[in-house]
Amino acid sequence: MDIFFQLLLNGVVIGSYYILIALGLSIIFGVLDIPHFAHGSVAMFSGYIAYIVVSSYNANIFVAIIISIIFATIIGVILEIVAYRPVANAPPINSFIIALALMMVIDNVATVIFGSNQVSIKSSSNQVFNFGSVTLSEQRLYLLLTTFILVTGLYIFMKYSKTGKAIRAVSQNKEAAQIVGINTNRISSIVFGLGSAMAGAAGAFMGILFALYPAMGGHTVMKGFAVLILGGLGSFPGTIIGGLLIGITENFGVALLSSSYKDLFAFVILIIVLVFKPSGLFGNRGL
Amino acid sequence: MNKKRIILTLIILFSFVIPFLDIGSYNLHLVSYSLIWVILAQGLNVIQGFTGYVSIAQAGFFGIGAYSSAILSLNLGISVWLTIPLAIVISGIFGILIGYPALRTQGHYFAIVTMSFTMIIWVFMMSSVKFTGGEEGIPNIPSPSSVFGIDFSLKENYYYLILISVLITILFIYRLMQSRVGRAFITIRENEQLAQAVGISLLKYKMLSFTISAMLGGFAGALYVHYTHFVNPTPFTVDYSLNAILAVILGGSGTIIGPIIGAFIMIFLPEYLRIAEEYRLIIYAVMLILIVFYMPKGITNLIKIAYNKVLSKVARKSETKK
Amino acid sequence: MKKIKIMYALLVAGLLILAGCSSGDSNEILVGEVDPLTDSAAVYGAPQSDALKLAIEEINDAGGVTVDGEDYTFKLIDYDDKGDPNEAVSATQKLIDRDGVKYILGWAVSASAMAAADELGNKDDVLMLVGNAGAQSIVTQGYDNVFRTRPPAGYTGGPAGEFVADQGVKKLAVLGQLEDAIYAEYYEHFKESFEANGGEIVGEESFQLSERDMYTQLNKLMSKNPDAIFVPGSVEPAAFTFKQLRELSFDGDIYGFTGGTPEQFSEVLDDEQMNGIYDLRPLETTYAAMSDVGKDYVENFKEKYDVNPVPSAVNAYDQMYVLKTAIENADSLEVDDLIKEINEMEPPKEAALTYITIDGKMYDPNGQAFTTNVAMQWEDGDWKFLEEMETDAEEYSKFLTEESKK
Repeated sequence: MDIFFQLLLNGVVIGSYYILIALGLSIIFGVLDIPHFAHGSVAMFSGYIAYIVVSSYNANIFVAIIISIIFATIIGVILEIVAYRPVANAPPINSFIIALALMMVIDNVATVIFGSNQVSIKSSSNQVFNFGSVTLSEQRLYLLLTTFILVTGLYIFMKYSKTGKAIRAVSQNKEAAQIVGINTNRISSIVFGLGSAMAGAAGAFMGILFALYPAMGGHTVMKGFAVLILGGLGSFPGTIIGGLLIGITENFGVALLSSSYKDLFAFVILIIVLVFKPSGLFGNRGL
Repeated sequence: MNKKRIILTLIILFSFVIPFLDIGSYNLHLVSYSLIWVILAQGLNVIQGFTGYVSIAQAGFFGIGAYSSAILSLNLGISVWLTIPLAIVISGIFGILIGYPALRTQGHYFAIVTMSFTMIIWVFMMSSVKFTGGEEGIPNIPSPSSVFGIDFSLKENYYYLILISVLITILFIYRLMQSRVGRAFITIRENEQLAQAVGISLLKYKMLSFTISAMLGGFAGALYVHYTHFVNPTPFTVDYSLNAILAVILGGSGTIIGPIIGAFIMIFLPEYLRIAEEYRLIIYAVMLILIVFYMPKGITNLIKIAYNKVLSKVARKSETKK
Repeated sequence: MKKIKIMYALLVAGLLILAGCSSGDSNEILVGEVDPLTDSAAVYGAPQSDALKLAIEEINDAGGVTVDGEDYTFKLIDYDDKGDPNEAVSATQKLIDRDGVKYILGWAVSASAMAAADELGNKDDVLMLVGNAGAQSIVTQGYDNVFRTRPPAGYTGGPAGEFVADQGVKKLAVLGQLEDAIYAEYYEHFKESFEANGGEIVGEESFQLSERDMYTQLNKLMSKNPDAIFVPGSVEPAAFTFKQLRELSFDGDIYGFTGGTPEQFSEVLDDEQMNGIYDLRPLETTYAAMSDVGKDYVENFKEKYDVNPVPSAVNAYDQMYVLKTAIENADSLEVDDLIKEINEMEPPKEAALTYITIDGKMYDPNGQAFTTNVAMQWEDGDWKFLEEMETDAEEYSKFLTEESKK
């Protein structure tokens, strides 16, 4: 069973990717109650931008990550202002449709601009580290580190900064927050910015470790929602545990069963958890 | 009232005549396909439009009905006339199984949970190669056996089968929404707490609504496979569920005509936008966004508004004449 | 209210404008194409489409064809099937019914080709020439009007198995797109011949077309200590398999059946990482082994499109020349006449591939053409021709005939 630890490590690495996506989505969905289906598409698009910059200027992997994050943040804020804010006070189904439509627009614009072939962000960081029988590539190590940094940073921000407190206020009760003088529009933009930044990081790593292709947005965001609901909306630890759980289960599932059912695990676990605890593993905010 | 009845009767009569018009077999195919989608959309409308729960599971039920009828008729040799009703029942059973956990959630959550189910069903269809043929699917699905000498492998004849199914479905929905059950659905949509307060058992009615949607989805699926004689997992993805949702909304959520218009738009629009193939989906999505901003109640509402304006203009004219 | 009126008007206007239509010129021969031009199968479909367009352009520039004293040029009507059999059938119906097309070429995806073949097999007045789609059953259903240039996957699998055994591999691990008919068929014949030549398969894992993370499968396989690994699959997941094998420091030989271009692989891997990897496939456009006509085809393709052609794209190129030559030889545009001619003809002189003729004819009684099978190895940024793998085309043709009787 000496591949056990390798599988576990693989699971944690993939789980980190899911955490990046789900955490960003969690902030947006949790605070603003918007099912931002275009979240994965934002990750994809900013990943592509990073790819273009890296391949045109021979930049290195860190530049790619930063560019992707910055670009995603910008796109996220623009989407909030242009597409979501007009329907913020309309019935929820409107933001639902807008979210779906945005996903379609971004995915197809990407197809037109970039073509449907996959692209990879090549980097010279090709070292491989061996710990006994376990192998970790340099790129995967960076994913783990980045996730740790971003998650910790976000946590500290949300808990201790003034803006973080304002965000939490809005997520508890939007009208009350407005009454005490919080500019909810600004908070909405910030929330989208933060969430999309995480998506940008995820997109960069998808391109570095694997490949980007225009249709990946939909797939990514669905897993993101699964992790989110599984962990419990609005719960930091929930999302982290959820992401790791799904990453690890997928890897062990493929090892023990077959790779054809890989995508099933996330959703089956989700259903099982929901049957027993409708608010998710760590959720306490009701439905 | 009378005017409406006349128009309705004319439309129904017209639809019976369509195969005799020289529109070409491809266009007849599009109409048949649209009618199947009408059943799918009407089903979705029950849980989404009338009860207020947006479900992303409709493509999953479409698929369950499709594969059920295909496998029962091809592998077990059961008559298609029997497998179609069986497919409806099987879809209904899945509706109950899926509805039970799913309906413990609401709103966006419910949508995402139903989406997860569709994904599970789809992955299962793709991977169980021995059972479902996997990605390549199952070919050579039989047509319904002939009745009164009518050969249902001919597309023109099958059209009538679909048409009659659509009419039965619409009649059923109409009666359903007139009944107490239908009114309970609408009450749940409008205000769940109030519904509970007046004694409506939420879980029971939501499950009923969801199961009816599932059965109609399965009905559409069964009709579909005996028409194309071929089934594979591609039409049963989350994307298709989203298209069904769009069909219901575009046409007019919570109305009876809405899903009909929506279904035809969803099938015919891509044909007309073929010129700008690459940009088609972008145009589509942008139109959608504009519609949500400016015409949130769908095209039926638009027609209603236009109709009312015309009526009021006519009324004013006759007044000034006096 | 005004907003709504304007919206409505714009909608209607937009629809009317976009609802255009085109009519064919009377001295144009319409050729239909169904291929995946978008979505994941486009890696094979788009290049095939490009090759087809190149052939048509060349033919038209050289004056087109003359039938019964009349001069004609070819016009292509192509539809994107997105790798989906339902779309493929729909596109086929459109081509036959609305566009009035009699000859349909392309066909990169097996599932689409099979569904369409079921739809138009033995139908009057339609000819189907299949390119890249490699599933066996396309030619074993007994459809008179279906012909295929590219040999079925199983035809290459057998010789490949023998080749790998001959390299001295005793324990082989396999990771491939084994649920996909074409790779499954290839592997079935491969396994049989590999084991018959003394080899042992120590582990079999599979991946899907869209998968990119093969770590788990690779870990499992590597724990069995194989001498080498065999990767039959589509170029995109295969490229990642190769990359991850290098990351996991796999020191055995890597054999593949993928058919990717240097550009496609270099997207994912370094040249150094690719060095030494084998590809065991039918002779497609793997340049060093080709005839002059073949080499010219590759040059022309590169000139027009700025990239190397995917190896299997040439099948569509040759199909078009088959159609043109058949029309010329039969001096007719009627499908029945063309079918008779295609059944008898030799490979066209403009064909880029070198075919093994059966009884002196290009197509065997099943409607299948055969090339030889080759082993290629990556060196310095490209596939280099290593050697021909021993193949018996006639034997295989008889096998197909047996299969079609079932």
